[in-house]
Amino acid sequence: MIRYLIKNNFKIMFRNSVNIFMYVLCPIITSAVLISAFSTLLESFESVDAFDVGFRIEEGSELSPYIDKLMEIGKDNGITFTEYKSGSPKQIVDDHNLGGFVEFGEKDYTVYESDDKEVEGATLEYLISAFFNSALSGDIDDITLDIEYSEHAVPVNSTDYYGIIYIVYFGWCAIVCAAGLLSHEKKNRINDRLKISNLSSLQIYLARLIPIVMVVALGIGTAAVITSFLLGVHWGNIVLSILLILLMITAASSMELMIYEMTFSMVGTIIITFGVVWVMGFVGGSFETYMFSGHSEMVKMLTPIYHGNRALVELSTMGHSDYVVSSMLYSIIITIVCSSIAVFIGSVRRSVKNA
Amino acid sequence: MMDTILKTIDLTKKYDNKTVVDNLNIEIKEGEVFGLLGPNGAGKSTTMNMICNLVKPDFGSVEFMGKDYAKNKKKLSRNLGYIPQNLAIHGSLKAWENVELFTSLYGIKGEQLKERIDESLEYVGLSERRNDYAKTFSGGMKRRLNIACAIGHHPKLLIFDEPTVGIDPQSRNFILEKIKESNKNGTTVIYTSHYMEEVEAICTRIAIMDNGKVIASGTSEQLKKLVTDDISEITLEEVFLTLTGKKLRDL
Repeated sequence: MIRYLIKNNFKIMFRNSVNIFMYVLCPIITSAVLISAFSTLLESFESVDAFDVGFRIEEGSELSPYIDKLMEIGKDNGITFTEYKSGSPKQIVDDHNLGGFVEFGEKDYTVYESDDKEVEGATLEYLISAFFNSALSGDIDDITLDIEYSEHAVPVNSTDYYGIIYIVYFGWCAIVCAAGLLSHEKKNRINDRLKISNLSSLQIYLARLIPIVMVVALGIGTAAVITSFLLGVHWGNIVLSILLILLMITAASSMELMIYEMTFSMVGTIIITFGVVWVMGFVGGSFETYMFSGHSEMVKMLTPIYHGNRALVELSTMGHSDYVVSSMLYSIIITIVCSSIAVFIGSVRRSVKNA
Repeated sequence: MMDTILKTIDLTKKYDNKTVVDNLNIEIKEGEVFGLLGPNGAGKSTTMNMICNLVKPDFGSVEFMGKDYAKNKKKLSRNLGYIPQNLAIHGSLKAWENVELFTSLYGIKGEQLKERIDESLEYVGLSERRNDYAKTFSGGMKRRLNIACAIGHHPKLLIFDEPTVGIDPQSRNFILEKIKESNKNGTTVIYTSHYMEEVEAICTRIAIMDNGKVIASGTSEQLKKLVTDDISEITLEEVFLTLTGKKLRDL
């Protein structure tokens, strides 16, 4: 019975030009801009090995008690700190071919990076930022830090990284696809027509979810094909990548339809969705690469976008990933939980109004 | 004698302690065109919503085809067609796609669905525009499409909630003729409108509601006789104003 409803909801969403902008143009443009902007950031990723950095500490600095521990952790990660009492930091970096220089002031620090060694500079920034985040929130002796790239991460260039990451990111904004349909249904009381018929809450939910997934998948699928040809983005295991993305879109659509059922306001849903997805993207590597991000591993692991990003990037670079299963499980759990809540709220809402 | 198709039994609804529909008992016979009139806030829309099971009554029930509608909606909903006052159609769907969508909700599919789409569009005079998007239609055409979307499943009772708002006289006349035609073919109709001449032209029986109650009911002539013996001297609108007063209701 809902075959025709799914078909026509699909047509309504498919014919909405906003969706072409959102799911085809936006991922292409964003990927292209970021690939271009950060083209060198990840380029020498593979070749980074141990490197030296210089530092200087101001007399009476409040950061003095931390320096020994920082040097110890740096050494564990292949970064050797050498103190330089005088001279311009930039000059010292150039003269001694250092990966960077840190100047510790009374209460703060400044990191100087070499133009030729951006990756070392970024790594140094990550190390110091992560170190002080941990040091200021706990016991200094308990600090252990691993710079991800040196042990686990795989070489990836910015083309593959941003080309993949933004397909995932826009896939998570799936509700935009149904915004026109849902607000029109509400405004023109089409919901009443659906309610008068014999459709169950589950059928109405599926008649929205399925076309959203189809249209978003079609849109970002087109974007993925175009970026592959135009920008040279490489995908790893195609079948597995498609499956991961489909599951993520389904999870995103379920979560966002649940938010819509809760708020029954399209504006509210869009604001909440964009907020949630932005935070998940921020933590999960959509803006700064997850390899260099200073967020704790635990926070990252809580974010479904991180699992998806990592699984797809690793599939692209290594051909396999330990994150495939966790990403799939995460998506399936979100889909089941959010769908159940959305159907329940929908049935309560669609059961006759009391007021 | 005609059978009762729909009956409201002590139907009551309150919003914020204000009684909107008060112990309403109306009975609609099969084959009737029943007009429901009332000023704004009289309780017409709430009554319609309770009849369609869109709003739960605080007290009372609706009996449709001899059964409690709320309890037997699954079996009975196919016999009910509702034409809302809003244009509950999708502008980005073609005319035939709109009819397909709403007719299919009642389990009609395949060849039968195609036939019903053709029949419904033919009925409202939109066959030639079947492949055009609804958003390109004029107000009158959208109203006609709104009707086509509610009749494809061949309901026994059609509820029209102010179906002629904001359209030209030709479209209005067309819709009224079609309602009469449906009724001749055996469909029972409940019709609400603020246009008295429309109600007088098509309704076999009229009820005037005010403050949640039916204050008068009968044929147009019977209602006129409540006000004056010389019914040729009075219009239904004058009867309506005499019974409900001239005070504005939505201040």
